[in-house]
Amino acid sequence: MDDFSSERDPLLDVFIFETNQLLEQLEDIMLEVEKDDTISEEHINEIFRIMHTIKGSASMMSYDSVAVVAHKIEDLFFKIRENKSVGSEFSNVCDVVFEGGDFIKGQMEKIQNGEEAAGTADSLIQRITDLLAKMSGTDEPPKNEIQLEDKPESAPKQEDYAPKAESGKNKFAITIFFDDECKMENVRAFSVVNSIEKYCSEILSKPKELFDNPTCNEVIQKEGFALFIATDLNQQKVEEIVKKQMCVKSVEVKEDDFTLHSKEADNDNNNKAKGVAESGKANTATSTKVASKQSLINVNVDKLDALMDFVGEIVITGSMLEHNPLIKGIELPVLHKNIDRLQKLTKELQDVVMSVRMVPIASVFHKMNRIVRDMSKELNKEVELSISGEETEVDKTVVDNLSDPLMHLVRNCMDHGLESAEDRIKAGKPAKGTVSLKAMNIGSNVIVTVSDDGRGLDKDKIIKKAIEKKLIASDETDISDKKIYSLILAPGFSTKEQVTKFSGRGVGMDVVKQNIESINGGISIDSEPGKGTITKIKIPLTLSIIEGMNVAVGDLSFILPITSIQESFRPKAKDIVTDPYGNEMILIRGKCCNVVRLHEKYGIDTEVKNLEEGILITVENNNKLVCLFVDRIIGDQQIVIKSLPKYLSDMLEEDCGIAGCTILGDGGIGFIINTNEL
Amino acid sequence: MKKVLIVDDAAFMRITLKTMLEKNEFEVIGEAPNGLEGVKKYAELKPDVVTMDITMPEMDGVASLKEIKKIDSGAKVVMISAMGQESMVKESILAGALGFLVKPFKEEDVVKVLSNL
Repeated sequence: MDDFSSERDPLLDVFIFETNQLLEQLEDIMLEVEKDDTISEEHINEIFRIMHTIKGSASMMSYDSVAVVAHKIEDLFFKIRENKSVGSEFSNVCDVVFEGGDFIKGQMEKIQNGEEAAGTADSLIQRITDLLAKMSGTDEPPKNEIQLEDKPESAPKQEDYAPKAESGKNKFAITIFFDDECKMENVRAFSVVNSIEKYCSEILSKPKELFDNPTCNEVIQKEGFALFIATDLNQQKVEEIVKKQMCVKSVEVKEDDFTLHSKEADNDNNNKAKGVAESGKANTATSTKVASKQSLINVNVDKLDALMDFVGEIVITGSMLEHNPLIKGIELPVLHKNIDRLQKLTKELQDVVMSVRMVPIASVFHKMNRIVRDMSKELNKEVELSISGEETEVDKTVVDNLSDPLMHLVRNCMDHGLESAEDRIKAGKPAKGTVSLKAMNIGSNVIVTVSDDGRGLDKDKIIKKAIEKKLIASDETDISDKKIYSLILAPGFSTKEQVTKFSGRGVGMDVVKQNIESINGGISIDSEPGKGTITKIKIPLTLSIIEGMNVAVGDLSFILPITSIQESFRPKAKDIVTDPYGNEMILIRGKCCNVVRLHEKYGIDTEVKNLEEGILITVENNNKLVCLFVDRIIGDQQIVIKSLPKYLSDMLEEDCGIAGCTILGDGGIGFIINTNEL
Repeated sequence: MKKVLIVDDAAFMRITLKTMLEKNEFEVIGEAPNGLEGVKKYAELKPDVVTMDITMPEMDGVASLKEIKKIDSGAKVVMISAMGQESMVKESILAGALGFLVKPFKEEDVVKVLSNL
């Protein structure tokens, strides 16, 4: 999958990035608004500004579907600002903003994927129009701001100009046409007047009224803007001054002895006050809570991926230098010293590059707020989302891959886990349920837990279903709780009778497991009936460079991720046990552990067949332990994980245990083992 | 080469304007994300021309224009506005803005306007 976004217009990337950022801010504000059950002046201004910015940028990029929706919401909030309140329409306004944000988000996704941003939000726009009508009409008449006059169309007043000259012996009629599509012709016209009035003793215009005149722009476009002035300037000078103005397409200046009828009914300077409808002063409200604008550089993730790849290659090359037997044998201190130094520097470079890719998990966690809110409304359950450890940092790719699984898990908690308020009270729990998200760093892993204080998992139901689906034998009585709970991660497993809107199709948990495993992580579930359920996700901090233990089996090299190794030892014959089915097991400190002979599993020729002659390495396998039998341990090294070439991966079975390959220090190939698949 | 200061709170608008201008023999010598910064940068960099967005946090375009005019009465400022902002554009003309562009605008519009100043 090649992402050619780096070939795409960089402006598009900035547009998408900024718009998405603004949408996130918007969602944060709206969630706060709903929680507080009120919308403050600060919020109104922020929302207005966000929509205004999105509208402007979208129109520049010609994404009209987005611009139209943003404009409509901007209008709505302009009205709300005018009214200084939402009146009785609070929840409608909130819904409309959430929907508008979602629509724009959807369009952004389409654009991001290179699809057309087709589609309109007609019904949403209609609802906003209706809301606006309600707010302008009977609901709450704006008290402080001046309303648009409902003057009779027939008697336009002459705009109030301020000619400053003392005398004007020349009289001219000026006809001006502005550039096509220059927009705001009335203001352009005003600009012309503004530039010339200091030289005039009298000015009249046609159209007479520039502002609050709905037909003004159309008239100017069709017939031009006509000015009648009395001035001491000569014709040429007048033409010059007008031509200097922006967007003037043509000017015609003629001598014209016009008669003045300027005295009609506009002594009142109230005309000047008309333009105050939009007060920009309110913009000074600063919002400190919403996304602090830090001075950071936005970097395209593709560049970071490329950087990681290069660092990986440097690590491999360094390893080859370090471990090559020929080079090792060279008696040249300066060579070895510099190879060491190179390795040290490479390690530091690697650390920095990895840290560049690290982002706090907060962004993923915060997305869940929205899900909890939406589901809370739909399911009619009061739920609180508690978040901790959001500052924990993980690799950007991990964050991207964590989003969907977390969403599914949170949905499960809300849909299946949490009981209705009624049931909760009966059980002696608070009516409000809690879903908790936690993240913490342990060693070189990040542990993310999703838990709820709901009804917990029903073991019997799960066992029954598992037997039905032939996942376990019907006479298996001695299964640990953990194993039972992990059964729900199997494909097609779901104990929900019906498919609800949110879950129950049984495709969820196994996809979650797959997603987690695709970032080299693991998932485990624990539960207590009546108390709740905890799902624990363990992910390594980095994706492509790990520390591995190189082991030999016959002629081949295998790599075991250090993080999955518990211990290694040479077994004693007396500790080796064989069960009735012929499976080999080893006793470790009184506990039995299965043995997996790698040479048998992969059909490798080796001299080392007796367990006491080789090495057993205890590794984690889906939360239990398993012992791998290998010939010998070669050593540990930094491994750059490379995926298997297609011709190889096509031939291998799924779940065969080979996660990838790498180039070893001596130039050979090592196969990386996924211990969870053994 | 005319030296330009771009004042706009949207990074997208700043980079769009910058791209347009730099293709056409203008030199963008500074950017500011709000009116307050705009005034500071004006005093610091003394550009030939300023493009000023109207709606910004901290200090809007009209207020910023007025402050800049106090520093330099001959300052050349072009407002960047959107539809629906007539009264603010009017105010800025009265405050001495040399002209205005309305979003969405094209590269040739910007170039034409700034070249004529």
